Amino acid sequence: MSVSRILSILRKDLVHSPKSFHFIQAVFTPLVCTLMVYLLFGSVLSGKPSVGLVYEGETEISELIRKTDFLRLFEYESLDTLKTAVLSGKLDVGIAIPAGFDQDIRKEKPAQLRSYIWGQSLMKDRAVIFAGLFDVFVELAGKEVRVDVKTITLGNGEIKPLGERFLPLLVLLAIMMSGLLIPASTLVDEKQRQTLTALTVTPASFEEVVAAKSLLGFIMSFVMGALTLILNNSFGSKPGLLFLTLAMAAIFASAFGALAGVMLKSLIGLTNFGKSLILIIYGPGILSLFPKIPQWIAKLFPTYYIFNPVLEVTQNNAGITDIGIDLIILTILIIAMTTIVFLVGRQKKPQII
Amino acid sequence: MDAGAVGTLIKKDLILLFRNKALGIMPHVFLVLLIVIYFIMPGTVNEKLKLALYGTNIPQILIDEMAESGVELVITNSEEELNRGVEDGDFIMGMTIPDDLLQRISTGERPEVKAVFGPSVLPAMKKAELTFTEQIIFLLQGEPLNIRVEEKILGPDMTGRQIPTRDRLIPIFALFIILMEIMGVAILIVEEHERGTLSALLVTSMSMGSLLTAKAITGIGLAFLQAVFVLTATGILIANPLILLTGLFLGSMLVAGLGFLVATLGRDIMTVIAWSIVVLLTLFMPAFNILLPGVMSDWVKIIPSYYLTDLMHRAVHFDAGWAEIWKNCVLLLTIDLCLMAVGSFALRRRLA
Repeated sequence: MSVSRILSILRKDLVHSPKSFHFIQAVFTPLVCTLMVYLLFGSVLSGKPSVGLVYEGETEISELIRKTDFLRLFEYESLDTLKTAVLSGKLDVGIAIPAGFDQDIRKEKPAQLRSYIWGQSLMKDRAVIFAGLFDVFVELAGKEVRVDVKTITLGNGEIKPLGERFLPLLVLLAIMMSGLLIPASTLVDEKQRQTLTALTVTPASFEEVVAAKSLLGFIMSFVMGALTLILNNSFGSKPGLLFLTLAMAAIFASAFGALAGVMLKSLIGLTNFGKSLILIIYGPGILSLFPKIPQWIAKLFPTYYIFNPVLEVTQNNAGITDIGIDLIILTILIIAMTTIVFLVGRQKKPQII
Repeated sequence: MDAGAVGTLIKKDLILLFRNKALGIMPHVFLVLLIVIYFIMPGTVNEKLKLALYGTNIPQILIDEMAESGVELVITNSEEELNRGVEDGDFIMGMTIPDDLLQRISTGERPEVKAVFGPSVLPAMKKAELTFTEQIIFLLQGEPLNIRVEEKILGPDMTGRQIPTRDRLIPIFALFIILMEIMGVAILIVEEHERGTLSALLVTSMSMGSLLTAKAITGIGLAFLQAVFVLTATGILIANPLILLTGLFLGSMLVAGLGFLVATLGRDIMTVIAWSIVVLLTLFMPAFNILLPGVMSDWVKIIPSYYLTDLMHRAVHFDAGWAEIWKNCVLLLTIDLCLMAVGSFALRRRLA
């Protein structure tokens, strides 16, 4: 096997591949997903109940609600728009505050307000909103809770917000999409256009072509994984260990991509192959979003051994001793995958060229 | 139109489809996985907040009042029991309030109240839950605020019968399955065109109309059967079978017209896939309204798939009858027929 020939094929692919649909898909999907997670989890999926206000005259309530930090506040010009927002589910609760409400509370006069509750909002969300409002009214009335509250958190560490919990899944997506799609699509494309046969009548061997495509997949997979971490500003305290994990993950992904490229005959077959494997590839990430599902199930997925080290290093500052077993299993998976690529490649070679 | 030729072409497409491991078997594995995911996900919604309390006696009236608002207060026998319950996740938080709380407050002291959280509480939610502690203490202090809150529920009150996320996902799964077949129909046509078998077919007695009919029936049939399979396996179809089957069929008919249009736009299989993704993403937007109500505004109604997701959502989760969903059916059928007419016209011109 000649390194210079592998690099020549790699150079050719680096020039031509970025125009292909699968290449664009592999690069843009993780970026778009990162953006979506950022936009959605910053608001709708933050887990904070949403409250809407419409008021006549002046009120300090909106400012006090904003300070609470556990409610999403929306303000409306009219009662009708507030009610429409409640009915659509945008708001859990809408509050209409009459003129002079603040003064009435301060002067301990009877005050009244109307609340519009979305029928599908959860009772706990309603309870949080009304507790938050109660707090605001107590402050507005100039009263106080005459105790000191000491907060104690049991157990180790704190759970991360959902947006942060998505990070390892995004990294997995970036690694697997590039690692799987790029070598597979470039190989299948060459097969379909019959340029693979043309390539192998040159001094380049079939094995060198597969190696070059895998190398391209590895580079892109590693770069996309690192880029996702950069975009999320999540290198943790051990970037060296994280890079090692990313590199191993990229090798596994590109070997898997090479296997798909060797086995599949058409790009449409590749698309369906990728579609069918979505849940198997991203299973560990999806399962981690639902803590009530037994987490041992995730260990049955090969990609768990990519997902978990990334999760542990980026979010729990894990060291090599914490993720050592995962990395050993990942190494075994890489060896197994490379062997399968080699064996299948040898078996399929006469049919391909 | 030659019914025999249409039947033969459908048979040929199905045989080729199932002979191809990637095209024929993998999507079915995907369907099975969707069903597995459905059954793994929780089937109930935890609507209430359960708080543990140890220490001072809390008046029953306050416990009842809190329970009415969705906060269940559970009195524990010891601080250890409270801590254990919080750590095990039985309670979202625990409060340890001194026995002589009110006595100490009345003497001007500021007694200490412990708010205990488990490791799985998000920082923002901790602040929210702390307000319950403050609310309870404030009420115990006996200085009620003179505020009357008039409550009005808008829309059906789902308290006690909230829709679990896995059930919200069902119309989305069905929509996804149906939409994927748009790509399938477009590929069936473009593949024939690329291989040159389309010209070969058209020089036989088969007309363009028969060919497009065969492709449409294959796509609609596959989309419909797969969606019905998922709804049957998850037991959702039983909820409102006739309406759901009608909705799924009308939704599946979208596949034909849109598949033709995508096939018109695509020069080869890869451009078909690229265009399909654009169409899929657009048509998928109304699904967000089910999963995350309120995310989309009214403009989402211009997307045809809205009428399918809305129909299914209402039929599955709100027992909607024909009186509520007939408009969706009429609109879907009209859109289906228009898209089929436009799609087949465009495709005929392209392939002519």
